[in-house]
Amino acid sequence: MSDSDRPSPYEGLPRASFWRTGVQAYPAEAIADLYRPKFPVTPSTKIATAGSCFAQRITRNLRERGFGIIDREPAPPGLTPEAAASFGYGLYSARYGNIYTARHLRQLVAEAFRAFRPADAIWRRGDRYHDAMRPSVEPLGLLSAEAVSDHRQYHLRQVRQMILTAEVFLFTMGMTEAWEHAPSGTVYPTAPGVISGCYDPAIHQFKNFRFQEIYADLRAFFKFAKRHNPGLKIILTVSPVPITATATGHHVLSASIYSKSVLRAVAGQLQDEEPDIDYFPSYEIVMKTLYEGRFFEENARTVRPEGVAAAMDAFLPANDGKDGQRSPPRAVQKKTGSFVRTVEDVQCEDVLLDKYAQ
Amino acid sequence: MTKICLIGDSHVGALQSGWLAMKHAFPEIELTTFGAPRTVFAGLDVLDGVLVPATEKLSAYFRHTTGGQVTIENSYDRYLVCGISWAIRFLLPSLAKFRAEDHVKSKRVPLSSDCYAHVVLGLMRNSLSMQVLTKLRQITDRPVTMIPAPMPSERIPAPIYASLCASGDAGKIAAQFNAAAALLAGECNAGFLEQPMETLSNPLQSLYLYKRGSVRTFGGNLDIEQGEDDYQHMNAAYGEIVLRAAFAARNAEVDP
Repeated sequence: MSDSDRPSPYEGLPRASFWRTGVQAYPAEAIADLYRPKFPVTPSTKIATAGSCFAQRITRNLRERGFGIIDREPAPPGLTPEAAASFGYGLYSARYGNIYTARHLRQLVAEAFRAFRPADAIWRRGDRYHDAMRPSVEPLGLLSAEAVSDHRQYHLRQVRQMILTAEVFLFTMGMTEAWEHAPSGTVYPTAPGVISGCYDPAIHQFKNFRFQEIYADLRAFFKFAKRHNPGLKIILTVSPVPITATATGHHVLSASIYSKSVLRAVAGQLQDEEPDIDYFPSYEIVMKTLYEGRFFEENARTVRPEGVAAAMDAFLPANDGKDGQRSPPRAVQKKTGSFVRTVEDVQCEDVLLDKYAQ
Repeated sequence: MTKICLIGDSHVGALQSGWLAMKHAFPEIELTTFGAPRTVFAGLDVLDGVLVPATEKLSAYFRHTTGGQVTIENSYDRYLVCGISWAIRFLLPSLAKFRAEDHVKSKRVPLSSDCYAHVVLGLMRNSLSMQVLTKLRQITDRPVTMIPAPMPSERIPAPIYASLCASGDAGKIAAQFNAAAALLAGECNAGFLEQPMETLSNPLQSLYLYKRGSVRTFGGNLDIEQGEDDYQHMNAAYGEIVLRAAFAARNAEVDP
C-alpha cells in the first residue's frame, strides 16, 4: 500500500471534529454536540453550586429554569433581592460568597467536616470584624470576633449538609491567583485589605497556582466529598469572565489567559480521568475570541445575559427530557425566583480591585 | 375645631371606646373613624384626591364605623393610622427563626444586626400599613401619626413571648420594631407613636389591665365584649392613653 492509499485518521470523524462544520456552521447558541453530558442533570436533580462570580449567573439561570438548586441558607423574609444578594443570600447553595480557586473550595469542604482550620480567619476593619473566608457576605462586618466564629460555625453546618445531600456539585473555576497566609498556607478569597483585614507582606503572600496544584486540590476535594457522599457527581466549568487585576507582574490580559488556560486544562484532565467528573463548556460558548465579543458588555469583561443564556441553552438540551420535563424556551420564560436581578447585580469581589487601576 | 381622621383595623375599637370616655375634655376635636378588618384595607384606592373603597366590603365597613361616610377626604387637619399590619404578632413568626448578634445564642439562625434590621424594615415596609400610609400621602400633606397595634395581653398562652422575655431578647425585638416603624413613617413624613410604656407588662406584652373588658369593633356598637380568649384587643382605658399620647405628640410637634 502506498502512502497515498492510506486513509487519513481524520476521515470519518464526526462534524463536531472540524471547525467549519462543528463551529463555523452554527450560531453560538446552537453548536451541536459541544456538550455531551456523562450523566443526566434534570430539574429534579439536587444541584449544589459554587465558584467565581460567573457561577452566580449559572445558579440564577438554572433556578429560573426550574432546576433544583440547593439553598441551605435561604434569605430571611423581608429582604429585597438586592439586600439579600449583598448579604450573600441566594447566590449559591450556601452563603460562602465567591470561591475563585480550587484551594479555597478544598479548604471550605474540609473545614465543614472539621478536617481543616483556617489560620488568621477573622479580619478586622475599624471596630468591625469579618470572616476572612467570606468577607463580602457581611458588608458592614460583625460586632465581635466571637460573632464571626458563631456565624461561621452555623455556615459550616450548612455546607456540610449541602455536600451530604447534593447529587451534582457544579463548580465554576475562576482564576489561579490568590492570596495566602504564608505561615499556614491558608488561602483567602480576596486579598487582605480589599474588603477587610490589613495586608502585611510579612504574613500574606501572593500565590499563582500551577496546574499540578489545582489538579491536586480538585482531586482532594473530589475524594473528600465522595467519601462523605459516594453518589456525588461533579461538573466543572471555567468562568469566561477575565480577571480584573493580576499581581503576577504580567499584563492582565496574559495573566487572564494563563489562568483560564490552566483551569481549562485541569478540568479537561479530570473529565478524561474520572467518570463522575464532567466538564461543561460555558467558557467556550461565551469566549470573546470565538464570537466577536457579542456576549460581553462594553467593558469586555461582564458577560451579557445573552451569553449566559446561550451557555445554559447548551447545558439544558443536552440534559433535557431525562425525567420528562422540559424547560420553557427563553422567550417565554417567567422570572419566578426571588433573586431575579440584572447583570450588574452580580456580587464580584475581584471587581473591587479595579479601584486600584490608575 | 380640629378634625381628626382615624383609620385602622379592629384596634380602632379601643381608641373609639377611649374617645367616648374622654371627648368631653376635648371639645375642640372632632374624631371620625374609618375602620375595617386588616385584610380588607387592600381594597383602598386613591381617586381624585381622596381615598375610596374599591370593594363593597370596605365600603360597608367604612359606612358602619363612620356613620355613613365611605370616602376618606383630604380635608382633615390630622390623620391617625392604627394597627392594620404594624403589629408585633405579624412579625414574630418570621423573626422567631432568627437571632441578631446581640440576642442570646440559640438554635435560631444567626444574622448580623445589620441584616436583622434590614429584615424587620423589609417586613414592615411590605405591609398593608405602609400601603395605606403611602396612599394617604398621595392625598394629603397634613400630619399623620402611625400607631401600632397593641402588644398582646400578658396572658396570651403563646410560649414564644415567655421565651423571648426570659432571654432578654424581647426588649431588643421591640426596639427594632419601633425603630423600623419610626424610620418608615419618617420616610413618608409621618410620625410614629410607640405603645405607651405604662400600658406594657414587658416589651412585647400589654398589661392585662388594659385588655380586660375590651370590646369588638365590628358587628356591634362597641358594646360586645371580646371575651377572655382574645388576647390582642385592648380596652377603653388603653385607647384613652394612646389618644392622649397621640394628641400630645402632635402638640409637641406644633409647639415644642
